[in-house]
Amino acid sequence: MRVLELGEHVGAAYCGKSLARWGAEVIKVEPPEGDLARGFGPFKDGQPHAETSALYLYLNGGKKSITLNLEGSAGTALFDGLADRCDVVICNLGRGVVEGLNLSDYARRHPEKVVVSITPFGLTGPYSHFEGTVGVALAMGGYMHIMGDPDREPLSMPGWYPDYQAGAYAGVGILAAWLGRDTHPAGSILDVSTMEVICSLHQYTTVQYTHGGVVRKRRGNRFDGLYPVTMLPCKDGWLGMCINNVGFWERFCLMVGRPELVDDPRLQSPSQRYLYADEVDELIGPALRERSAAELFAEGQEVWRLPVGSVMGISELLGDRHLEERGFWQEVEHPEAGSLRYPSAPFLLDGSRFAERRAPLLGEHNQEVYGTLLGLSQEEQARLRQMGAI
Amino acid sequence: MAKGPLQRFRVVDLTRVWAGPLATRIIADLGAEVIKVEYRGDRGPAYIPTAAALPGVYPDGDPGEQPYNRQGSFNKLNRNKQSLVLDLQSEEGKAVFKRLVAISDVVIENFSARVMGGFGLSYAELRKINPSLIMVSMPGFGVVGPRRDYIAFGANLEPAVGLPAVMGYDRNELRWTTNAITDAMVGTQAAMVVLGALWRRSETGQGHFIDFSHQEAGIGMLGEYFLGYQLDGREPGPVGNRHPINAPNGCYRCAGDDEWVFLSVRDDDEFAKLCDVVGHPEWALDTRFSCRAARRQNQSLLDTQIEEWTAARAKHAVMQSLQAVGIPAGAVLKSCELVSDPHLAERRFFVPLDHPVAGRFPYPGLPVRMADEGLESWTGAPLLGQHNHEVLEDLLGFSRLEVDELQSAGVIADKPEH
Repeated sequence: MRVLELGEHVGAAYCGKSLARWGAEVIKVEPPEGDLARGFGPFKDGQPHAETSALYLYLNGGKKSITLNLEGSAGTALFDGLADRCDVVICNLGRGVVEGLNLSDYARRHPEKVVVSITPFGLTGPYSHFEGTVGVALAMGGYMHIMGDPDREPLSMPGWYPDYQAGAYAGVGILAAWLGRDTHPAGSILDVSTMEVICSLHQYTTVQYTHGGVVRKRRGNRFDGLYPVTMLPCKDGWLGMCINNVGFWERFCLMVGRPELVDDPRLQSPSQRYLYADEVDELIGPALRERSAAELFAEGQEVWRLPVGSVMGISELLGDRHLEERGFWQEVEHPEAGSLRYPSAPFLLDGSRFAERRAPLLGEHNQEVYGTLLGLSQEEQARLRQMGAI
Repeated sequence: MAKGPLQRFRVVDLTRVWAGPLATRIIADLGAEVIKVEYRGDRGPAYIPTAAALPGVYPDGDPGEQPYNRQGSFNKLNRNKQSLVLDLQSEEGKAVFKRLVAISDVVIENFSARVMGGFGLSYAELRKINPSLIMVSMPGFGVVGPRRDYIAFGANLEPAVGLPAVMGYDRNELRWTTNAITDAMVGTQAAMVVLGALWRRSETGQGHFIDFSHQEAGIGMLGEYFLGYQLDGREPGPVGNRHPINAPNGCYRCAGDDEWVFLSVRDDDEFAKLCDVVGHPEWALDTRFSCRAARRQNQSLLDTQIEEWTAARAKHAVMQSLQAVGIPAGAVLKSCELVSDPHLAERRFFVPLDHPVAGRFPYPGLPVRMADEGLESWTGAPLLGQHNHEVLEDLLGFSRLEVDELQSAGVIADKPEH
């Protein structure tokens, strides 16, 4: 499978990265000045540099980088030549680019190929010309209203969750279309709307409304309706917990040294305990604030068989023994960024990890792709470089 | 069942709760034949919240006589699938299961790490029956490792992937999503893994065992944080609704009760337009806001006055005014506003599905839109054991008599235990 990836930041890149891990050849098309992700820090030693952006390095392992200016007839002609030699095209550059490159026509003429567009709101509909960001997607998808504290502004999420999920769905769509291409040729663009991605990923929010007319609200760290399903401060961190049945509550009370709470008539079920959530916090809070969150994580799980988990930080996870023993962190060398530990794909296949590969330098594969794949001579490439097409 | 490109694949689905059923829902929506192998107690309160726990999850709040067939989140997750109820503790149940595995492509389960082995249905056993089987086991912390036996739900997995360490109003006030986000992260990624393995198998003919970890899936959607720390040595923490590049960026109150808009200003152009829209053109000339770094530094000086403008207006009007000049802005929609949203409605994102016991409801669709989605072929979630006869007789070739005997012996069922 040869994939042509037209992407900036996260959505198309995460999709391409996932396919590259499974063995696809992924050609990443960047503008001559580079994917916008290259300008997104943190950078090595805190110095902005196009080859040491954490975001770019993470999202683009295993790909080939070519530079291409998609504006202008030279650029679109090159795109057409590349697309003809690829099986899959992924684009998250927006409706304007999708139309400018005539991707729907390409999809129609090549039903055996797969074309995916990821945009904030999709390619059709009254909001399809709207601009989007992570916060906008979370707001419009219904996540933001239920995150954060009740009497103040809702909370967005850090990072790029909506775009990662859009890229994951795009990857699923591509693999499904690829597996079924003999019997179900696609023939049209697979249209991924990030707003719809978020709407499709609610735990209970949508059905509580459609079935029972209940509008879910944000409750800070409390899960609305069951208690204690929450996160509470400890001496040196926070502990997450899902104490949602009788057995768990009993053992939890014993763990925190409050055995008398086991038979408290107000606290017999998780929904009852939710009604007394403030009291529950006062009763168990002090005990938690005397203990280390990491210790409670281990003791809670290993001694008391409780679903608890301490808030683990970034550096803590990098050094975590469980992840280490699973071979999750892989050391990968990069000419500019140096040797770093990268996350693996989230699984072991027959006991082994896919080997993580480094991200490409900007335009690193221009010669290979334009020269060998497209068959352009050195002179032609030089001319195109001079006119700013590549 | 849905029609789609995955038509020729059969998946045996033992998963419960959210992450696993979400993965198999995505695969079912794309046309695969997904057979849920359920235990008769699977739809009880241990896995599916009751009406008391989760108001509104039953139609009109009424569990009815068959709550196990009326629960909204179960029905949302399990459309387009079939239900076979088997007692896997019994020898007959195991035998039926093995016959099903022999003609299937994928087995996927999210029991805790030792359960399938305890049934005598480990990958080592199943691959003898079907050497090209793809088997996915997905307990929270994975099948191998020091935490393999840990109990995992969303509320205690999310802290273990690094998200709450970087989410909250400030460094002292950490928050989690309260939406079991790791389940959502797993659903899509596990679906991708199943299809990736099928792709690989289509070229090699080999089956595979996949040990899939929720913790790793969560870390994978935060991967840049782990490289960032190694690159610049700074431990990241929560920054509220601020953004590392965009400013102003955040939530602003609008007219009405708990109404908000979220906006992001990404560059100098968008900032200049914002100044005009909110009636403060002088900001565009103010050196305190003259570049992104300065705006990030001084955002708090802008927030109050931006909110004076938004607070007098409805959130949709604010969104439209800002989007009209190309500024990213989104109304913070409540759940009651999703089904009626004009954009989602025109795109027909919510799919109405009938269900004989629960009734007709709109459900979120598959957000990978194709020209021919075959939505008219979609079916509501199966009743408990609805496809017992179909699977056993039509698919596996049991006789009617044999099936009746299995029913009498309790090996198959269509009601929960009492």
